[in-house]
Amino acid sequence: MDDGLSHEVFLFDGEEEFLAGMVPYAREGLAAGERVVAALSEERGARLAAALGTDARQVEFVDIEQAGRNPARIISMWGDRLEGPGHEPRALRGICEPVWAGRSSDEFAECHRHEALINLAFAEAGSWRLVCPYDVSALEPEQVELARRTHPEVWEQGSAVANSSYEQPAELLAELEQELPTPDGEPTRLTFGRSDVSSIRRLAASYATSAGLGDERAADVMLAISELATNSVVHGGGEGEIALWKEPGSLVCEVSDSGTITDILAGRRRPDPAGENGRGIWIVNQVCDLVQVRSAPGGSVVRVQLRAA
Amino acid sequence: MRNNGPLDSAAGLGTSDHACWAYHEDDGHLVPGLEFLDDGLRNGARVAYSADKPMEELRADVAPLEDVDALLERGALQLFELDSLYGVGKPVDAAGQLATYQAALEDALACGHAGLRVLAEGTTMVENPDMWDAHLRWETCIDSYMSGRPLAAMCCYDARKVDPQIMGDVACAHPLGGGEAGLAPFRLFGNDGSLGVAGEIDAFSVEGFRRLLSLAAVPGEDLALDLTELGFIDHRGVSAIFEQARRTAARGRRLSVREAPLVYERICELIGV
Repeated sequence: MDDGLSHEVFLFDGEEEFLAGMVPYAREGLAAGERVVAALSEERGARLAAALGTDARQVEFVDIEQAGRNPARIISMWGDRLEGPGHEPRALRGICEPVWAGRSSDEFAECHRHEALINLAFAEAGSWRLVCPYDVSALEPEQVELARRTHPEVWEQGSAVANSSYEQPAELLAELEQELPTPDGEPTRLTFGRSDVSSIRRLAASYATSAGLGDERAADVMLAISELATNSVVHGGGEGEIALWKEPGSLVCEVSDSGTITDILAGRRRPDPAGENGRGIWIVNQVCDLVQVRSAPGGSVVRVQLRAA
Repeated sequence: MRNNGPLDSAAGLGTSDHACWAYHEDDGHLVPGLEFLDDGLRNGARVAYSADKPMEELRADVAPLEDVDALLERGALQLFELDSLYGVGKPVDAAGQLATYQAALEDALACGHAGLRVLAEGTTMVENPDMWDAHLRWETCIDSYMSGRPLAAMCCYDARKVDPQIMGDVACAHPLGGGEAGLAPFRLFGNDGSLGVAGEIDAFSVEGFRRLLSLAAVPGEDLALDLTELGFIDHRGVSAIFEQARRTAARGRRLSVREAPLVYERICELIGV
């Protein structure tokens, strides 16, 4: 295996095929002394655990529907597992299913952006394998087609085979940068500057409460909006505009300003604990259920969605 | 929790209250200040007034109080030229100054007064940036001493003459503030053995918070932060607390946090501290 990430798509049809592939893949990792992590839905994870028997005890299971609800968190999640306690790289073998049937079309687009970006994020990381299972019996063909374009390798009978359908991330990312849908109804819109960040934060929190989000989620809303508004003030031309609206079971906030976000991986890698740079947007990704960043010279828009629970 | 927050009026302050008052016109400290002293006299406290002025001007400033001669005669009112208290132009020595206030409070109580209430015009104490840290240390030191004791103070500053940065920091070092809304995004104050933090700490206020926290930390003592009234703190503020915790630990002491708001807990969980 080459240096860096081997990012493999595994197209499976039915649970039997899934287990027939992933059980030996996980066991092979355990036998080689690798850290094996399976980020799957709780249900699929339980089935894999049952099939692995006692070997399952050595596998870390992550509920992807929680941890990867916002796909922009997944790179950071793998980054954490790739480093040992002293930041030394460790042998890692992952299974990750970020794309599951039932996600919204906005979520699908962000999932595929994530799948393209992870190739860039770990281009120079120690060698490790990440297999992404796509359930072809449950997903629309369109989603499966995109998966073929974001994975440099295809998982075939245990081996990583070069994927001729793979596309360089830059072009694909541009294609996936669709215009954000117009909100239903009339959002509350306000412009803000430095002295308004505090009131914007409180407004967003009270909006969250009135949208039925509860105190803990209202605290998350404050954290996210504070960081986005601060970014606009500090890096985005000194001022910005916020739009807030409710969708069933969630609150959506959009912050726009005249700045440009040049780092396409911004907020996707865990920031250096010693510094504070880059922490803001990472925190936004951690607390939000979906984050959509659209940035071009002359202006940026960040739309975030927070669900009730 | 100690009385804290912005003030609309100087009337009705309690026996341990500590207010900062920023004013914007000549002798603008006298309207709130005399109201503050008058309240104190009615409650049986000894009141004191100090400003960087000669005695006869101090005397003229307090003339609106009822029967000033009798008040001075029976020691219910004392006047101090600022220079005699602090030595104008030098950084304040917090420990020495605290001893002076301790003695003054004990004397007031021994003379049968219910407590001591001080109106201090301090503009000249922060004119020189070299004096800022010492002044902030002094404010946090006397503030902790006042908590739970019958000592109240109103510290007035002419905002036209004071650098906005130190004006903001000074306002944040008082539990109460009047005269200008928005000067203190947060407040750090003594609260019965702990340090209370109220208000909001974010990218725009964290620098002042980091500075005040380090000045308020007394070497050789544990530091307890009570965050009951903290409305918001971001990752920068949490990092400032953890930096202080490391400095305190390096001196063999412990920093503890109680009643942290949800945002604080959430940030700790996320950044793994």
